[in-house]
Amino acid sequence: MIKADERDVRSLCALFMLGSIVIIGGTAENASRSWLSLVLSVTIALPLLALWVWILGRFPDKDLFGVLGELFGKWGGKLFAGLIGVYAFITLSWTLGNYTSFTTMLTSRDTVKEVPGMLVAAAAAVVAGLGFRVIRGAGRIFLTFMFIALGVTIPLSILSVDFSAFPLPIFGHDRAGVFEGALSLGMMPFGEVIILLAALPPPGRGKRGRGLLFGALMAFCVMLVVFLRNVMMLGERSMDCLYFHSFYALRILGIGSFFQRMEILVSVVYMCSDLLRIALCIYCCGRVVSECLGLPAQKGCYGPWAVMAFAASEMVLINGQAVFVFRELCKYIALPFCVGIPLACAFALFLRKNEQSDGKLWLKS
Amino acid sequence: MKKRYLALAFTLLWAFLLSGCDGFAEIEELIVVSGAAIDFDGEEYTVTAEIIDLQRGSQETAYKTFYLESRGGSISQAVSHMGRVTGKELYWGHASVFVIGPGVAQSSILPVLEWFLHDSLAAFSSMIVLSDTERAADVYSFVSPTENSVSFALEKIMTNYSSREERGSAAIFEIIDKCSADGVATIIPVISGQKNGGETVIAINGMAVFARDTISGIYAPEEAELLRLLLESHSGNVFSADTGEEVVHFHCGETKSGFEAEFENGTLTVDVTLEAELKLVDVDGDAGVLDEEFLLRFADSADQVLTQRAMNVLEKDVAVFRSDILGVGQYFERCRPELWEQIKDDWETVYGSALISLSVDTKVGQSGEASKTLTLARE
Repeated sequence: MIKADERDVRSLCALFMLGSIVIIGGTAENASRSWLSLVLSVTIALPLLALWVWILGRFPDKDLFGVLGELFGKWGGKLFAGLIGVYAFITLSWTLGNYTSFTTMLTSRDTVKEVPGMLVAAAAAVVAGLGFRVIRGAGRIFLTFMFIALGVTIPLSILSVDFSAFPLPIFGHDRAGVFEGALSLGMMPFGEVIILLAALPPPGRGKRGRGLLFGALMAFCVMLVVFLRNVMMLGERSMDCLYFHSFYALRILGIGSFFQRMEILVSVVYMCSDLLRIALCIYCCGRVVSECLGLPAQKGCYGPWAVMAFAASEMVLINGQAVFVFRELCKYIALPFCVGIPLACAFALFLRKNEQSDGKLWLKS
Repeated sequence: MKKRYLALAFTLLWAFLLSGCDGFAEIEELIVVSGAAIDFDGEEYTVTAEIIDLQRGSQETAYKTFYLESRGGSISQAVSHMGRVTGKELYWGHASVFVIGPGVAQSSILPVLEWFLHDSLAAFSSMIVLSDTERAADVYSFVSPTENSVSFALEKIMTNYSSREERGSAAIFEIIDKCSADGVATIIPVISGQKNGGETVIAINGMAVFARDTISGIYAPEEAELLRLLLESHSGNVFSADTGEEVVHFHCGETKSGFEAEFENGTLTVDVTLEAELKLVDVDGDAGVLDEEFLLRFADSADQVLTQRAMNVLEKDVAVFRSDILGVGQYFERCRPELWEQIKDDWETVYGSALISLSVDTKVGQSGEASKTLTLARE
């Protein structure tokens, strides 16, 4: 039976979190203060992640669906699994819409957006259908690509960064936007870890919780550097105007004749990590189906999920502007799933702990 | 297992390769634009694009250029009309320098900047310059000693210019940032023709200062050099200072500038400091460049020259342009936002009555490659 080792959790967590955000390069609310929103989002992300680590640590040999079944019973577990599936579907649709808007706005302007959208949905469905072993392998490769790309672009960016353009005053003119951005980042990507946890099989070697925290820490560090880099290269006002900040920041980066058009490198890396993110969301939806209906994992209907999510993104997210407006709404949509479900699990675990008066349950931890 | 990874590899290949090929246009179906000039007569925009024609090249020249002019109520309309006239798709990927005319500068440069932001054809990393001619399109009547295309020549000139700027360049994203900010002027290089032998070649000839989106004035080339020093940019200009015993020619290496600003009792005071490293180029007279007295005389007279000329630049900005080239307003916005909220609406008036002082501190960095000036044997 396949299991998720600590390093699998670490690499998939980092990739899943970085997937869309690293190319967007900032929050929609008060973009020039994205770095500050990220720092403040730790107050949301850290408790959430710590909560999951604590909950999952009490069931060291079970995956998330097993934990939900233990905590809420058979039908309660299926209900919560269904809710996770709903959230995974929403995230999948938004990520697909974001992917197609990126490709049609910037990289493939003359291509109708249905073409890259459908193809990446199909490719992700194939990856999901091949199983966790392939997702894991792809995750390790893509994470390597990502760090190579970052390792090249970040040091080169230093040569073009204007450190005196560090945005001041700290909160800018839109203090509320900073806090909204913190909530947005707390939910997406940190809160979205619930989807990743649902996609992961039972834990293998190492500690799942430690892998989760390290992956989140990697993602946090990368995002902080990228957000600061973007604002100090583009300037506050330019950053507030643009959609894909990282893309434009790298577009203006050029050293000599050899190091030019860096945004193409980043685009490829973005597409790879977003493909994996989409595949994980599809895999999560498929697992929800198989768990709820008691089917084997390979019967999770990955292809139909991909098609439905693509259709949903086409109907709701009709253009790039709609994608970004929806992104601002997502932080509120995510609250009952990303915060409500772990809180419910923690509450159930607390009640369960009180019932287990002999403490035998905790011997395994 | 191998089959699974093979399937994954094929899927990825398929997903990436097939997702971008639709709408591809062959190079013969494209018109390559090397640059454009934008004019505004108060009602209509006129866009003049310099086109590179690779097919009409010869053994002597790899390409020839021709020009397309188009009008429209907006820049986007003018640009799209070009496509309808030619029947081909205009490729703007190589257009890196855009020239704006006096009409655009006097009305507003915002429509130009907006076009770069919203039109997918325009490159965000392009540069903007202001032409000193009656119309921006007149620059295409100039020549370049190194390039057939005026736009390519401008690109090289501006790339060299931008790479030597420590603070501020002609790049679109920087201009957008400055233009939409309060309390700092937008500075755009001015280009015009200069006589070179029997031809008029294109060159940078001063700097235009914009308060927000309209032009406040132009600094002449000599003033522009001091402006670059005040903005901590490289200036290759050679200055002359009369020490009383000899005339010393020098240029400035690394400069540092700063200011302290206070707003009290309705009066703005700005104390500007400029530190410059002097590099001796030439001496008209008899002097030992290692002589301490000479170096003191040199430094003192250079101080005076730089102080006087830099002060002229600052006073012109305060009294005439009122555009805040140093970014004093932005300093208040960043470091004293409560005060800025009170004065920002009257900033032009406040800045226009500012009391500016300047202190220049120079030190001799390099004194050439000789320790003494050349003298004749019988002197």
